[in-house]
Amino acid sequence: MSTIVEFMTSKHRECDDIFSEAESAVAKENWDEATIKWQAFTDELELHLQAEETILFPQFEQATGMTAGPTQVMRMEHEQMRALVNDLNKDLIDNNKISFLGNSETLMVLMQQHNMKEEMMLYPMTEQHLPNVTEVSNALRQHCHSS
Amino acid sequence: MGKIKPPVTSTNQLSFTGLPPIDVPFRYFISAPLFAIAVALMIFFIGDHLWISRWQSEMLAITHAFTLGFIASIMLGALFQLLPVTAGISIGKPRLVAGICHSLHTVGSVLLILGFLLNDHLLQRMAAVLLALGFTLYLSIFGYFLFKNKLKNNSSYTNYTLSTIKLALLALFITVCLGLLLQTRVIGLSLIVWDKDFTNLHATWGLNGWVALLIMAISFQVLPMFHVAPEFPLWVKRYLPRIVFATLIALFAAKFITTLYFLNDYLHYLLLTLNCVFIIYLLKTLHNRKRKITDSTVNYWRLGATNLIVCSLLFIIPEQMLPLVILQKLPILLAVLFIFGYVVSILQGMLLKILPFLVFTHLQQRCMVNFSAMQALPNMHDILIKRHGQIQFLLHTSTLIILLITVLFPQLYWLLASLLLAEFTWLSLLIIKAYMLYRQHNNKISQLL
Repeated sequence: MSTIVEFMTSKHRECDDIFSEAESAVAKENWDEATIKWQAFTDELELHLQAEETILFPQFEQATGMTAGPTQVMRMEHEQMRALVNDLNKDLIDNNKISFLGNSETLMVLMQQHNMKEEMMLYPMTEQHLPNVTEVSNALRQHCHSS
Repeated sequence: MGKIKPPVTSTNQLSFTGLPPIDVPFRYFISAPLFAIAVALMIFFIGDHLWISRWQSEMLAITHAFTLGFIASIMLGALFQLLPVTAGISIGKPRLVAGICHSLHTVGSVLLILGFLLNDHLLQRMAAVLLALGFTLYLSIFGYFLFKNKLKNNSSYTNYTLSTIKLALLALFITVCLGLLLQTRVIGLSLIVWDKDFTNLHATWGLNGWVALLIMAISFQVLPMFHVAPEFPLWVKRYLPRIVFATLIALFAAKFITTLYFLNDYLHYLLLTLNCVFIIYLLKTLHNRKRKITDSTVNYWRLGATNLIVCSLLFIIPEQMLPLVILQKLPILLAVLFIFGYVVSILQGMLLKILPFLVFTHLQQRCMVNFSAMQALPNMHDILIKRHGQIQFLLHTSTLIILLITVLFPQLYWLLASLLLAEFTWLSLLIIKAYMLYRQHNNKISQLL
C-alpha cells in the first residue's frame, strides 16, 4: 500500500507528463491533439486539486489545528493555477501558440514550486500527524480515480 | 498503533515567506557580468602576448575575473534563493548579510584583479583581507542556518540537493583557505611553499569541488522540475558527490605524503571521469525528458556537457599524440574548455531559467493577498523573451569558438574581445530588463492591493 506521499507525488508526475504532451502538441501546432491532451490534463489536475481541498487539507487541519497556515497557502495557489488554466483554455480556443507557450511555461513554474512545497513538507507533515493514514490514502486514491 | 506526533516547527510552515527580497540575488547577478565585460577590455588592451602561459599575472587577473567575479558571484547570489526554494531554509536578515558579503566580495575581487594586473602587492594584500572577511562571513552564516535546520528537521525525506550544496560550500571553504595561503607570500609570510602543485590544488578544489558540486546539486533539482525529466539514479545523487569530495581530499594526501605523490595524476583522471559520469547521466536524463519544446537552457546543458567531454578527452590523450600547436597551449585549452565551455555555459543556461522564475515567483507571492492582482502578473516569456535567450546562446557559442581559436592563434584577440563584450553586455541587459520588469509589475500590484 503506497503512502500519501508516494501516491500524491506520483499523481503530480502524471499531471506533468500529460501537461508536457499537450504543450508539445501546441508547439507543433497540432491543435486537435493539443485539445485532447489539454482536456485530459485539466481533468486530472482538477481531480487532484479537489482531492486535496476536500479530503487531505481538512484532515490535516483537523489533526494539527492549523487552519490558517500551510493549507490556506496551498488553496490560494490552487486558485492561481485555475486562473492560469482558464487563460490557457482561451489560448487553445484561439489557436494562439505564442500566448499559450508563455502561459504554459508560467503554469509549469507555478505547479513545480507548489508541488515541491507539498512533496517536501505538507505531505510528510500530514503523514506524521494523521492517525488514519491508510484510510485517507485510500480516499484520495478513490477520488483521483473517480473520473 | 500510537504515533508520537512531532511538534509543528517554524521550518515547515510551508509559506514562501522564507524568500529573500529579490534584490538580494539580483545584486550579485547584476554585478557578475561586469567582471566579464572587464575581461573583454583587458583582452583588448593587453594584446596577443597574453596567451603565452597561464602563469602570467595578466592571465591570473583574467582567470580570477571569471572565476571570482562572474562564476562565484552568480553562485553566491543564487544560493540565497535556492536554499529556501529547494530546502525550506532561509537565511536570517538576508539584505544585511547580502549587502555586506556582496560588497566585500565585489570590492575584494576588483582589488585582486587590479593587484594581479598591475603586479601590486599592496592591492593584493587588501584584496586578500576583504575576500577573507567576505567569505568567512558568508560561509559562517550559511553554515549556521544549515546546522540550525539540521537540528530542527525531523523529516525522513533525504534531500540530495541539500547534502550536495553542503559539500560544495565545504569545498568553497577549502578553496578560499588555499587561495589565502597562496597569497601569504605577498606579505612575506610564505606559510606554504608557493609552487604549481598548490596553485593546482586551489584551482581543482574551486572548479571540481565548489563549482562542479554546486552544478550537480542544482541539476538534481532543476532537470526534473523545469524539463519534466526523470530523476537522476539514486546512486548518482547519493554517492557521486561524496566520491568527488573524497577524491579531492585524497589530492592532499598525494601532495603531502611523498610516497603517494605518484597518485596525483590518477586522482585528476578520476575527478574528470567522475564529472563525465555525472554529465553522461545528465545527458541521458535530458534525453528522456518529457518536455520537448525548444529551450535555450537545454542547448546550454548540451554545449556544457560536450565541452566537459572534450576537455576530459584532451586530458587523457597521451601527449605524444597531440599536435605541437595544441600541446604548447594544453593547460590554457583545458582551462578554457572547463571554465568557459562547461561552467559558464551551464551557469548562463540556468540564469535563463532562474531570472524569469525569480521575478514571477516574487510577484506571484504578492498576489496571494489579493487574487485580483493576478491580472498584473507577466508570463514567463514576457519576463525573458525566448528569442533573447536564443541570441544569448548564439553569442556564447560564437565567443567560445573564437576563444578556442585565439588560444592557438592569439592574433585574433581583438575579435574575441569584441565578442566577449557583446555577449556579456547582452547578458547584463537581460538581467537588468528582468529586474526592471519586476519593479514595474510590483508597482502595478501595489496599486491593486
